[in-house]
Amino acid sequence: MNALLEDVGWRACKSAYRLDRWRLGELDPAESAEVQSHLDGCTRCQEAVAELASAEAAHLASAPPLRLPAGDGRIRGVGSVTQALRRSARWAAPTAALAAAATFLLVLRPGEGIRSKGPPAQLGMYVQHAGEVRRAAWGEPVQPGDAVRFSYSIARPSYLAILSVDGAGLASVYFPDGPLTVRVEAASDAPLPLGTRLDGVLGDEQAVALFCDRPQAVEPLRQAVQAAAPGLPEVPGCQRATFRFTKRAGP
Amino acid sequence: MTLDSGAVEALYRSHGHVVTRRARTLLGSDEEAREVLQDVFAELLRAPGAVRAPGSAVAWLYQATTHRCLNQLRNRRTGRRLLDRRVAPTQPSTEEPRGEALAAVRQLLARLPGELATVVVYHHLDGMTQEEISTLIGCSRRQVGYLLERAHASLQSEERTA
Repeated sequence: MNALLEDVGWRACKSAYRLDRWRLGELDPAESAEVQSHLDGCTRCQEAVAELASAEAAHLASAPPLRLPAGDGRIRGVGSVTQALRRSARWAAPTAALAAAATFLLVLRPGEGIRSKGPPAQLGMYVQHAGEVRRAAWGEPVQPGDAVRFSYSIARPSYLAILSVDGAGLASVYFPDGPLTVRVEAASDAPLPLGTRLDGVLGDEQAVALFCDRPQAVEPLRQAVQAAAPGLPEVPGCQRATFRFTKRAGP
Repeated sequence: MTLDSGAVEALYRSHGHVVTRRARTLLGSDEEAREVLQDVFAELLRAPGAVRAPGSAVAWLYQATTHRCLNQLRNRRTGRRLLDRRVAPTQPSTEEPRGEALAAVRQLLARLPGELATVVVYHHLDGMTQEEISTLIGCSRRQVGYLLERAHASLQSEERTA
């Protein structure tokens, strides 16, 4: 039996449980840093994390709607994410972004972003396609050339940066345009002053908003996001919120 | 902490893969793994206080998934699902490179008492340390070691008599 269990047993140094918790942002900063440090030098654990990420992508791509218990006829979907693997998507030039943002008609509603630990911190997104603006759902399909603009919700004034991670684990900065995080006031579903127009690279994109207690240099945050990919970074003094969308070729 | 339906829905999207992945490994069936996924989150909708604190969702999902899957394995063994499976054969998992060995482990897990099977799953299939298991299930590390020892002894005994 022991041999049998060895054949099928978990092969990474860190348990699936710990890696799942790390990927999903449940570890405290010290624990998360320890896992990250270990991962940097451990091929087995890197492979295990890749397997977990692959399972997540498959879930987002093909999980059936969530059935509610009897008595509630509604169904709830996993979203319309259809890509099995996250692929690269990049932001267009800031000038185009500003032009796109200027044309937005925003309808403010409660945010639908995923909240991380602590007081509410949410990230939402609006999409402008063919002259019409809609609020994006989690996993929203968008097309090259669409203009997008983020909105945020936060319970107290914070210093904000929004970064995006492509399928190769490369992080880039969406907001702000300068080297330091920018102070934003407590707000619910407040649109950011910058929008952007999407380029032609297809695939899934994950945006990560970091709401920090004090001003921070953006570049180290970008590096932290990149280092944590495909998981999410634990940055001391910062709350986190994420949003995902999928860029597909147009008809 | 109580999750409203929107929060459960968000958790389904962000954490559902944890349930599906483990259920597929434990049951060897994509179809049954999807059933477990629905069952686990349906339970959370009915009892939204089950996830007691922020940062504990993975722990609850691990326990709920393990509990359901082991019940399912025991049901298979006792034949309560036999008729259903004859009518609509279970589709095997599409990604199971260690298929034969896992099938044998499933049969053995189905014969172990629940608490022993649970620690075998956590320790061997999830790679959890005794300390992680003790925290997860709420007992001492010594108790976890004791359960693992009993499980191994029981399984070796079965091997000898097989």
